[in-house]
Amino acid sequence: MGLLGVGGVGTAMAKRAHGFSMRVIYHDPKRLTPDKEHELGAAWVPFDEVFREADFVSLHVQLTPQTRHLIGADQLALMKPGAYLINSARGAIVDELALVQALKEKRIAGAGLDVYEHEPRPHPDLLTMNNVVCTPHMGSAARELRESMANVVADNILALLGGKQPPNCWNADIYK
Amino acid sequence: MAGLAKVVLTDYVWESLEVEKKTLAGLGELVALQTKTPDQFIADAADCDALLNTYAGPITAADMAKMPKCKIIARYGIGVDTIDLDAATAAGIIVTNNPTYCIEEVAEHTMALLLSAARKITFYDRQVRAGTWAVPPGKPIQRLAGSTLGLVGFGNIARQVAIRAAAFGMKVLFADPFVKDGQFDAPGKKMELMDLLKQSDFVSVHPPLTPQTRKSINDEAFAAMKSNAIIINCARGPVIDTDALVRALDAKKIAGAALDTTDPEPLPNPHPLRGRENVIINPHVAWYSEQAMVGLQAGAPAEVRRVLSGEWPINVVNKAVKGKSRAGL
Repeated sequence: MGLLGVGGVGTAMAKRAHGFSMRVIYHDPKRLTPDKEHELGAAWVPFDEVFREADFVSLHVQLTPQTRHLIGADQLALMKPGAYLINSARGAIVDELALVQALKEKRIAGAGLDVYEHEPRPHPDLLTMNNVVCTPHMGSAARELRESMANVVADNILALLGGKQPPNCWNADIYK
Repeated sequence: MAGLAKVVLTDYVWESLEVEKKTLAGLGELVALQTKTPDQFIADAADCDALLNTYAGPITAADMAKMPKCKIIARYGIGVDTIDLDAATAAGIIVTNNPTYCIEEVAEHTMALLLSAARKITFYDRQVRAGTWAVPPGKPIQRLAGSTLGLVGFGNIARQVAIRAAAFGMKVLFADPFVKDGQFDAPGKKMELMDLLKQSDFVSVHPPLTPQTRKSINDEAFAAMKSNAIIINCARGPVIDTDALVRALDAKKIAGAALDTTDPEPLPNPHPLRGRENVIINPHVAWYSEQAMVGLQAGAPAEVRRVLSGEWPINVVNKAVKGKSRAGL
């Protein structure tokens, strides 16, 4: 299992992969401390190595200008012919045209996709492939989670209206 | 031994018989058939010294009586529900199985079916391919972490499922009259079957098919289950009473089913289990991987080789045959 990104979801993936007796490698620009790595049971490898070594590459990075099309033809070309790409993060992290091409040419074994570059319209060729699983961006769908997501949003708005910095503020510089 | 022993292979699902030929070299001559029932293979097997068997069955006392020289029936798979074991013992025929070649595969497939049903992967995949992009049609979905998996039977495969489910944060219960609480390292709390059914969000069945377990998941069992529960079967189809399952699904007594094995197999078309959004059906493939295939093909012929060379085989199912077997073992 090759994890790109070991935030909350990547960490949860590592734990589950261990239950299946899989070896876990990861790349994250911010390498974990040796203690954390030990706890996670995941070995850090350089970016390219994730694609070269993993039988399953699972993406768990945020979409930023830097990560847009982070996975393109070059990365897909590094992957094993028997490997699968899994994306439940954000569609545009992957160059979808390059992925379609790689799948068509059987340069990788398949893909499991919950997200796409242009939602709600996955590339039409993806929808007719037998080696692709497509779900409609519902990775977070669980009643408890959707409720807690709504609560997080409400808490942030209430904090703001109360004159405080919202707890999940991402551009905290604005308060400086 | 003068000449080569006659080894009849009743049926097989792989391309090459090189493993069989190599394993039996110098000891046996392989006669490979592709049959479904004993009446199709018995003419060729009447004078056999050993029988290699994949699916063809059931092999009854009457069939065994027609193979007076047969020393061993070696099944390629794990289950021996298609072979009359008492009759084999009485006739002095050793019956072997192959209990470990696909433990990981079946445990993985069980989890894959569980995850597909829980996360509605197959349902959403059909929706997206048909052009529907929406979360609500799949509602409700409950968080898997913290939910309860009930394992009916706690053998090699079920314990591997338990380890995987625990890694997903699931609570694991098991019901197995032959396993004590704490006997194995795997996660799982022992329960009576009815209590397990009442508490589980997912019920996965893993017992061997025996007269006791046949149709053991019946109307009464479904009535005890939670209305959100999913039943999973990667063991043997007849462990579940199919008619009772259809009734339970129709009455919404349970939320769905994920089946790799059905009763009957193959599942007829049409059949009331087909065409349901909350039922996943696979064609008895949980055992398969390229790695398992190697182990599958190697197991049974090696047991035949042992018997033909006067050795007691490794995985004897009817151990009572020891000392009175035709093989003189």
